[in-house]
Amino acid sequence: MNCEEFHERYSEYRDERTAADGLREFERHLEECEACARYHRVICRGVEVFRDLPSPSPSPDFYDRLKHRIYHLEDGIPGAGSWPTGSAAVLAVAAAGLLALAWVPFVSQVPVEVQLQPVSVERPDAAVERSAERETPSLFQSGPFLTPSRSGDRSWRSDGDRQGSSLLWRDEGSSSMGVSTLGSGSAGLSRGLR
Amino acid sequence: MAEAIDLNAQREERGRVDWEELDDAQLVERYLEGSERAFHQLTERYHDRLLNFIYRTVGDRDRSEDLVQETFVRVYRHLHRFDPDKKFSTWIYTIASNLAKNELRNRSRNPLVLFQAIKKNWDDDHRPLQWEDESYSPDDLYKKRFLRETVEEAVEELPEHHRVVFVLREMEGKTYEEISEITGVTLGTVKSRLNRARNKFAEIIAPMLE
Repeated sequence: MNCEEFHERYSEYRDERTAADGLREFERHLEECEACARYHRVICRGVEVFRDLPSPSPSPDFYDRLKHRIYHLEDGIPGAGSWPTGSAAVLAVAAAGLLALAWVPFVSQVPVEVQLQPVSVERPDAAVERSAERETPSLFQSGPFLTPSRSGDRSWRSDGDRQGSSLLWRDEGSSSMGVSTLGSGSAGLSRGLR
Repeated sequence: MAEAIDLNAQREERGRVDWEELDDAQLVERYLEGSERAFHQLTERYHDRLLNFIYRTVGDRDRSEDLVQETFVRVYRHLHRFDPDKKFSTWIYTIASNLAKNELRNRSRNPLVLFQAIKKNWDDDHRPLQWEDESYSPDDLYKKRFLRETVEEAVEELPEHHRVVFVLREMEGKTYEEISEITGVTLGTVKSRLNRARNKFAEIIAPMLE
Protein backbone atom coordinates (compact mmCIF):
# COMPACT_ATOMS: atom_id res chain seq x y z
CA MET A 1 0.00 0.00 0.00
CA ASN A 2 1.38 3.44 -0.88
CA CYS A 3 0.49 6.81 0.70
CA GLU A 4 -1.99 7.78 -2.05
CA GLU A 5 -3.90 4.57 -1.63
CA PHE A 6 -3.80 4.98 2.13
CA HIS A 7 -5.45 8.43 1.95
CA GLU A 8 -8.01 7.35 -0.61
CA ARG A 9 -9.13 4.40 1.49
CA TYR A 10 -8.45 5.82 4.92
CA SER A 11 -12.15 5.94 5.93
CA GLU A 12 -12.42 2.19 5.33
CA TYR A 13 -9.72 1.68 7.90
CA ARG A 14 -10.94 4.22 10.43
CA ASP A 15 -14.53 3.04 10.25
CA GLU A 16 -13.55 -0.63 10.20
CA ARG A 17 -15.12 -1.30 6.85
CA THR A 18 -12.34 -3.44 5.53
CA ALA A 19 -11.64 -7.15 5.77
CA ALA A 20 -8.95 -8.53 8.04
CA ASP A 21 -6.43 -8.67 5.17
CA GLY A 22 -7.04 -5.05 4.31
CA LEU A 23 -6.72 -4.07 7.94
CA ARG A 24 -3.27 -5.66 8.17
CA GLU A 25 -2.21 -3.78 5.03
CA PHE A 26 -3.17 -0.46 6.61
CA GLU A 27 -1.38 -1.27 9.84
CA ARG A 28 1.76 -2.29 7.99
CA HIS A 29 1.75 0.99 6.10
CA LEU A 30 1.26 2.99 9.30
CA GLU A 31 4.32 1.32 10.80
CA GLU A 32 6.40 2.14 7.75
CA CYS A 33 5.20 5.67 6.91
CA GLU A 34 5.58 8.39 9.54
CA ALA A 35 3.59 10.97 7.50
CA CYS A 36 0.53 8.73 7.24
CA ALA A 37 0.91 7.71 10.89
CA ARG A 38 0.87 11.37 11.83
CA TYR A 39 -2.21 11.96 9.66
CA HIS A 40 -3.95 9.17 11.53
CA ARG A 41 -2.95 10.63 14.92
CA VAL A 42 -4.20 14.10 13.94
CA ILE A 43 -7.58 12.72 12.91
CA CYS A 44 -7.92 10.67 16.11
CA ARG A 45 -6.92 13.53 18.40
CA GLY A 46 -8.98 16.12 16.51
CA VAL A 47 -12.13 14.00 16.64
CA GLU A 48 -11.53 13.36 20.32
CA VAL A 49 -11.47 17.11 20.95
CA PHE A 50 -14.51 17.60 18.73
CA ARG A 51 -16.51 15.04 20.72
CA ASP A 52 -15.53 16.75 23.97
CA LEU A 53 -16.79 20.15 22.90
CA PRO A 54 -19.53 21.41 25.23
CA SER A 55 -23.00 20.56 23.98
CA PRO A 56 -25.69 23.19 24.09
CA SER A 57 -28.50 22.45 26.51
CA PRO A 58 -32.13 23.12 25.74
CA SER A 59 -33.47 26.28 27.35
CA PRO A 60 -35.58 25.80 30.51
CA ASP A 61 -38.83 26.54 28.68
CA PHE A 62 -38.09 24.12 25.86
CA TYR A 63 -40.73 21.58 26.88
CA ASP A 64 -43.32 24.21 27.74
CA ARG A 65 -42.95 25.76 24.30
CA LEU A 66 -43.07 22.36 22.63
CA LYS A 67 -46.18 21.39 24.59
CA HIS A 68 -47.79 24.69 23.67
CA ARG A 69 -47.05 24.17 19.98
CA ILE A 70 -48.36 20.62 20.02
CA TYR A 71 -51.45 21.63 22.01
CA HIS A 72 -52.33 24.15 19.34
CA LEU A 73 -51.47 21.86 16.45
CA GLU A 74 -55.06 20.78 15.97
CA ASP A 75 -56.06 24.39 15.43
CA GLY A 76 -54.17 24.30 12.17
CA ILE A 77 -55.75 21.11 10.86
CA PRO A 78 -58.48 21.84 8.28
CA GLY A 79 -61.87 20.80 9.56
CA ALA A 80 -60.75 20.75 13.19
CA GLY A 81 -60.68 24.46 13.82
CA SER A 82 -59.26 27.46 12.12
CA TRP A 83 -58.07 27.39 8.56
CA PRO A 84 -55.29 29.47 7.21
CA THR A 85 -56.23 33.13 7.42
CA GLY A 86 -56.45 33.74 3.68
CA SER A 87 -58.71 30.76 3.07
CA ALA A 88 -60.93 31.72 5.98
CA ALA A 89 -61.46 35.20 4.59
CA VAL A 90 -62.30 33.89 1.13
CA LEU A 91 -64.70 31.33 2.57
CA ALA A 92 -66.40 33.93 4.75
CA VAL A 93 -66.96 36.25 1.79
CA ALA A 94 -68.24 33.39 -0.35
CA ALA A 95 -70.63 32.24 2.37
CA ALA A 96 -71.95 35.78 2.87
CA GLY A 97 -72.51 36.12 -0.88
CA LEU A 98 -74.42 32.85 -1.08
CA LEU A 99 -76.55 33.82 1.90
CA ALA A 100 -77.37 37.17 0.34
CA LEU A 101 -78.33 35.49 -2.95
CA ALA A 102 -80.53 33.03 -1.12
CA TRP A 103 -82.38 35.89 0.57
CA VAL A 104 -82.97 37.96 -2.58
CA PRO A 105 -86.32 36.30 -3.57
CA PHE A 106 -87.67 36.64 -0.06
CA VAL A 107 -86.57 40.22 0.27
CA SER A 108 -88.14 41.24 -3.04
CA GLN A 109 -91.46 39.48 -2.27
CA VAL A 110 -92.12 40.70 1.22
CA PRO A 111 -95.90 41.30 1.34
CA VAL A 112 -96.89 44.89 1.82
CA GLU A 113 -99.33 45.22 4.64
CA VAL A 114 -101.97 47.79 3.79
CA GLN A 115 -103.47 49.31 6.85
CA LEU A 116 -106.82 50.87 5.98
CA GLN A 117 -108.78 52.84 8.44
CA PRO A 118 -112.07 51.19 9.36
CA VAL A 119 -115.06 53.10 8.05
CA SER A 120 -118.51 52.85 9.50
CA VAL A 121 -121.22 52.93 6.94
CA GLU A 122 -124.83 53.38 7.73
CA ARG A 123 -127.27 51.25 5.78
CA PRO A 124 -129.51 53.50 3.64
CA ASP A 125 -133.27 53.28 3.73
CA ALA A 126 -134.83 50.71 1.41
CA ALA A 127 -136.55 53.36 -0.74
CA VAL A 128 -133.39 55.37 -1.08
CA GLU A 129 -131.53 52.21 -1.85
CA ARG A 130 -133.86 51.26 -4.67
CA SER A 131 -133.72 54.77 -6.07
CA ALA A 132 -130.02 54.72 -5.85
CA GLU A 133 -129.94 51.45 -7.72
CA ARG A 134 -131.81 53.01 -10.61
CA GLU A 135 -129.60 56.12 -10.66
CA THR A 136 -126.29 54.55 -9.98
CA PRO A 137 -123.84 55.00 -12.84
CA SER A 138 -122.49 51.81 -14.41
CA LEU A 139 -119.19 52.34 -12.73
CA PHE A 140 -120.86 51.76 -9.41
CA GLN A 141 -122.75 48.65 -10.42
CA SER A 142 -123.08 46.44 -7.45
CA GLY A 143 -120.71 43.54 -7.25
CA PRO A 144 -120.38 40.54 -5.03
CA PHE A 145 -119.54 41.21 -1.43
CA LEU A 146 -116.39 39.41 -0.48
CA THR A 147 -115.78 38.06 2.97
CA PRO A 148 -113.45 35.33 4.25
CA SER A 149 -115.04 31.93 4.50
CA ARG A 150 -113.56 31.42 7.94
CA SER A 151 -111.24 33.13 10.35
CA GLY A 152 -107.73 33.53 8.98
CA ASP A 153 -108.68 31.88 5.71
CA ARG A 154 -107.55 33.74 2.67
CA SER A 155 -110.02 32.10 0.27
CA TRP A 156 -112.87 34.41 -0.33
CA ARG A 157 -116.56 33.75 -0.88
CA SER A 158 -119.23 35.82 -2.46
CA ASP A 159 -121.92 37.32 -0.29
CA GLY A 160 -124.81 38.22 -2.52
CA ASP A 161 -126.78 39.83 0.25
CA ARG A 162 -124.31 42.55 0.74
CA GLN A 163 -124.15 45.08 -2.03
CA GLY A 164 -122.71 48.51 -2.04
CA SER A 165 -120.97 51.13 -3.95
CA SER A 166 -117.66 50.19 -2.45
CA LEU A 167 -115.72 47.02 -2.25
CA LEU A 168 -115.95 46.11 1.39
CA TRP A 169 -113.71 43.48 2.92
CA ARG A 170 -113.44 42.22 6.38
CA ASP A 171 -110.84 40.17 8.13
CA GLU A 172 -112.76 38.16 10.64
CA GLY A 173 -109.62 37.24 12.46
CA SER A 174 -108.91 40.80 13.41
CA SER A 175 -112.51 42.06 13.64
CA SER A 176 -111.55 45.18 11.76
CA MET A 177 -113.19 46.18 8.58
CA GLY A 178 -111.79 48.00 5.69
CA VAL A 179 -113.27 49.68 2.69
CA SER A 180 -111.68 50.82 -0.42
CA THR A 181 -112.72 52.18 -3.71
CA LEU A 182 -112.79 49.71 -6.52
CA GLY A 183 -109.60 50.97 -8.14
CA SER A 184 -107.38 51.18 -5.15
CA GLY A 185 -109.24 48.43 -3.33
CA SER A 186 -108.47 45.81 -5.93
CA ALA A 187 -104.80 46.65 -5.75
CA GLY A 188 -104.90 46.63 -1.98
CA LEU A 189 -106.77 43.38 -1.97
CA SER A 190 -104.35 41.70 -4.31
CA ARG A 191 -101.46 42.83 -2.20
CA GLY A 192 -103.16 41.81 1.02
CA LEU A 193 -103.83 38.32 -0.29
CA ARG A 194 -100.23 37.52 -0.65
CA MET B 1 -41.45 -7.97 20.46
CA ALA B 2 -45.17 -8.54 20.99
CA GLU B 3 -44.33 -10.37 24.18
CA ALA B 4 -42.21 -7.48 25.33
CA ILE B 5 -45.05 -5.04 24.68
CA ASP B 6 -47.50 -7.25 26.56
CA LEU B 7 -45.09 -7.34 29.44
CA ASN B 8 -44.71 -3.58 29.36
CA ALA B 9 -48.48 -3.09 29.21
CA GLN B 10 -48.89 -5.22 32.29
CA ARG B 11 -46.20 -3.26 34.08
CA GLU B 12 -47.77 0.03 33.01
CA GLU B 13 -51.09 -1.11 34.42
CA ARG B 14 -49.42 -1.61 37.73
CA GLY B 15 -48.02 1.91 37.40
CA ARG B 16 -44.43 0.77 37.27
CA VAL B 17 -43.45 1.28 33.65
CA ASP B 18 -39.81 2.09 33.27
CA TRP B 19 -40.09 4.24 30.18
CA GLU B 20 -36.34 4.46 29.84
CA GLU B 21 -36.17 0.72 29.34
CA LEU B 22 -38.48 0.80 26.32
CA ASP B 23 -36.73 1.02 22.98
CA ASP B 24 -37.74 3.51 20.30
CA ALA B 25 -39.98 1.08 18.45
CA GLN B 26 -41.88 0.25 21.63
CA LEU B 27 -42.31 3.93 22.45
CA VAL B 28 -43.60 4.63 18.95
CA GLU B 29 -46.08 1.80 19.32
CA ARG B 30 -47.21 3.06 22.72
CA TYR B 31 -47.65 6.56 21.32
CA LEU B 32 -49.75 5.27 18.42
CA GLU B 33 -51.89 3.48 21.00
CA GLY B 34 -52.54 6.86 22.59
CA SER B 35 -49.84 7.27 25.20
CA GLU B 36 -48.66 10.88 25.33
CA ARG B 37 -46.07 9.82 27.89
CA ALA B 38 -44.39 7.74 25.19
CA PHE B 39 -43.99 10.81 23.00
CA HIS B 40 -42.58 12.76 25.92
CA GLN B 41 -40.06 9.98 26.47
CA LEU B 42 -38.99 10.16 22.81
CA THR B 43 -38.44 13.92 23.08
CA GLU B 44 -36.40 13.44 26.24
CA ARG B 45 -34.34 10.80 24.54
CA TYR B 46 -33.55 12.84 21.45
CA HIS B 47 -33.61 16.53 22.26
CA ASP B 48 -29.99 16.78 23.42
CA ARG B 49 -28.65 14.74 20.54
CA LEU B 50 -30.68 16.61 17.96
CA LEU B 51 -29.79 19.97 19.42
CA ASN B 52 -26.10 19.11 19.30
CA PHE B 53 -26.34 17.76 15.76
CA ILE B 54 -28.27 20.75 14.42
CA TYR B 55 -26.11 23.20 16.33
CA ARG B 56 -22.94 21.67 14.88
CA THR B 57 -24.47 21.87 11.43
CA VAL B 58 -26.16 25.27 11.59
CA GLY B 59 -24.18 27.12 14.22
CA ASP B 60 -26.92 29.31 15.69
CA ARG B 61 -27.93 28.01 19.09
CA ASP B 62 -31.35 29.65 19.35
CA ARG B 63 -32.24 28.78 15.80
CA SER B 64 -31.05 25.22 16.42
CA GLU B 65 -33.47 24.94 19.32
CA ASP B 66 -36.31 26.18 17.12
CA LEU B 67 -35.40 23.56 14.56
CA VAL B 68 -35.35 20.82 17.19
CA GLN B 69 -38.83 21.91 18.22
CA GLU B 70 -39.94 21.84 14.62
CA THR B 71 -38.48 18.34 14.29
CA PHE B 72 -40.56 17.11 17.23
CA VAL B 73 -43.69 18.82 15.94
CA ARG B 74 -43.25 17.03 12.61
CA VAL B 75 -42.65 13.75 14.37
CA TYR B 76 -45.84 14.29 16.39
CA ARG B 77 -47.87 15.05 13.29
CA HIS B 78 -46.51 12.31 11.07
CA LEU B 79 -45.64 9.48 13.41
CA HIS B 80 -48.64 7.52 12.18
CA ARG B 81 -46.93 7.44 8.78
CA PHE B 82 -43.65 6.13 10.17
CA ASP B 83 -42.72 2.70 8.84
CA PRO B 84 -42.16 0.55 11.95
CA ASP B 85 -39.75 -1.65 9.99
CA LYS B 86 -37.37 1.31 9.78
CA LYS B 87 -35.22 2.73 12.52
CA PHE B 88 -36.84 5.62 14.37
CA SER B 89 -33.51 7.36 15.04
CA THR B 90 -32.74 7.43 11.31
CA TRP B 91 -36.16 8.87 10.57
CA ILE B 92 -35.93 11.64 13.16
CA TYR B 93 -32.38 12.53 12.07
CA THR B 94 -33.59 12.71 8.47
CA ILE B 95 -36.21 15.26 9.49
CA ALA B 96 -33.67 17.24 11.51
CA SER B 97 -31.08 17.09 8.73
CA ASN B 98 -33.55 18.37 6.14
CA LEU B 99 -34.56 21.23 8.40
CA ALA B 100 -30.90 22.11 8.98
CA LYS B 101 -30.20 22.02 5.24
CA ASN B 102 -33.17 24.29 4.55
CA GLU B 103 -31.94 26.66 7.21
CA LEU B 104 -28.49 26.86 5.64
CA ARG B 105 -30.01 27.31 2.19
CA ASN B 106 -32.20 30.15 3.41
CA ARG B 107 -29.29 31.69 5.23
CA SER B 108 -27.10 31.61 2.15
CA ARG B 109 -29.67 33.88 0.53
CA ASN B 110 -29.26 36.31 3.39
CA PRO B 111 -25.58 37.20 3.67
CA LEU B 112 -26.15 39.30 6.77
CA VAL B 113 -26.35 36.22 8.94
CA LEU B 114 -22.89 34.95 9.58
CA PHE B 115 -22.31 31.52 10.98
CA GLN B 116 -19.25 32.31 13.02
CA ALA B 117 -20.54 35.58 14.45
CA ILE B 118 -23.62 33.87 15.83
CA LYS B 119 -21.75 30.90 17.14
CA LYS B 120 -19.01 32.92 18.79
CA ASN B 121 -21.56 34.98 20.69
CA TRP B 122 -23.17 31.90 22.08
CA ASP B 123 -19.82 30.40 23.02
CA ASP B 124 -18.78 33.53 24.88
CA ASP B 125 -22.06 33.64 26.79
CA HIS B 126 -22.43 29.96 27.54
CA ARG B 127 -18.95 28.62 28.00
CA PRO B 128 -18.98 26.76 31.33
CA LEU B 129 -16.75 27.98 34.11
CA GLN B 130 -13.42 26.24 33.96
CA TRP B 131 -11.58 25.64 37.21
CA GLU B 132 -7.87 25.76 37.07
CA ASP B 133 -6.38 22.37 36.41
CA GLU B 134 -3.09 22.16 38.28
CA SER B 135 -1.88 19.31 36.11
CA TYR B 136 -1.61 21.73 33.21
CA SER B 137 0.66 24.72 32.94
CA PRO B 138 -0.90 28.00 31.75
CA ASP B 139 0.73 27.34 28.44
CA ASP B 140 -0.95 23.94 28.24
CA LEU B 141 -4.32 25.42 29.17
CA TYR B 142 -3.94 28.05 26.50
CA LYS B 143 -3.02 25.40 23.95
CA LYS B 144 -5.94 23.24 24.98
CA ARG B 145 -8.40 26.06 24.62
CA PHE B 146 -6.90 27.17 21.36
CA LEU B 147 -7.03 23.62 20.02
CA ARG B 148 -10.70 23.39 20.91
CA GLU B 149 -11.46 26.61 19.09
CA THR B 150 -9.45 25.48 16.10
CA VAL B 151 -11.27 22.15 15.95
CA GLU B 152 -14.63 23.92 16.13
CA GLU B 153 -13.63 26.32 13.39
CA ALA B 154 -12.28 23.45 11.28
CA VAL B 155 -15.69 21.75 11.36
CA GLU B 156 -17.41 25.05 10.56
CA GLU B 157 -15.15 25.56 7.58
CA LEU B 158 -16.20 22.28 5.99
CA PRO B 159 -18.65 22.61 3.11
CA GLU B 160 -22.19 22.01 4.34
CA HIS B 161 -22.69 18.59 2.72
CA HIS B 162 -19.31 17.41 4.04
CA ARG B 163 -20.00 18.85 7.48
CA VAL B 164 -23.33 17.02 7.86
CA VAL B 165 -21.71 13.69 7.00
CA PHE B 166 -18.73 14.37 9.27
CA VAL B 167 -20.93 15.32 12.25
CA LEU B 168 -23.25 12.35 11.74
CA ARG B 169 -20.29 9.97 11.66
CA GLU B 170 -17.87 11.40 14.18
CA MET B 171 -20.24 13.05 16.65
CA GLU B 172 -23.35 10.91 16.37
CA GLY B 173 -21.67 7.64 15.47
CA LYS B 174 -24.05 6.83 12.61
CA THR B 175 -23.20 4.03 10.20
CA TYR B 176 -22.62 4.69 6.51
CA GLU B 177 -25.99 3.14 5.74
CA GLU B 178 -27.78 5.40 8.21
CA ILE B 179 -25.96 8.47 6.90
CA SER B 180 -26.89 7.47 3.37
CA GLU B 181 -30.55 7.24 4.38
CA ILE B 182 -30.51 10.45 6.41
CA THR B 183 -28.83 12.54 3.74
CA GLY B 184 -30.41 10.81 0.76
CA VAL B 185 -27.12 10.10 -1.04
CA THR B 186 -25.47 6.82 -2.05
CA LEU B 187 -23.04 4.90 0.14
CA GLY B 188 -20.23 5.78 -2.26
CA THR B 189 -21.01 9.48 -1.89
CA VAL B 190 -21.08 9.16 1.89
CA LYS B 191 -17.66 7.52 1.85
CA SER B 192 -16.22 10.08 -0.53
CA ARG B 193 -17.61 13.06 1.41
CA LEU B 194 -16.40 11.65 4.68
CA ASN B 195 -12.91 11.13 3.30
CA ARG B 196 -12.74 14.68 1.96
CA ALA B 197 -14.11 16.08 5.20
CA ARG B 198 -11.44 14.24 7.19
CA ASN B 199 -8.67 15.39 4.90
CA LYS B 200 -9.75 19.01 5.20
CA PHE B 201 -10.22 18.68 8.95
CA ALA B 202 -6.74 17.20 9.40
CA GLU B 203 -5.22 19.88 7.19
CA ILE B 204 -6.64 22.66 9.39
CA ILE B 205 -5.83 21.26 12.81
CA ALA B 206 -2.50 19.57 12.04
CA PRO B 207 -0.39 22.68 12.81
CA MET B 208 -1.99 22.78 16.27
CA LEU B 209 -0.90 19.24 17.01
CA GLU B 210 2.77 19.50 16.11
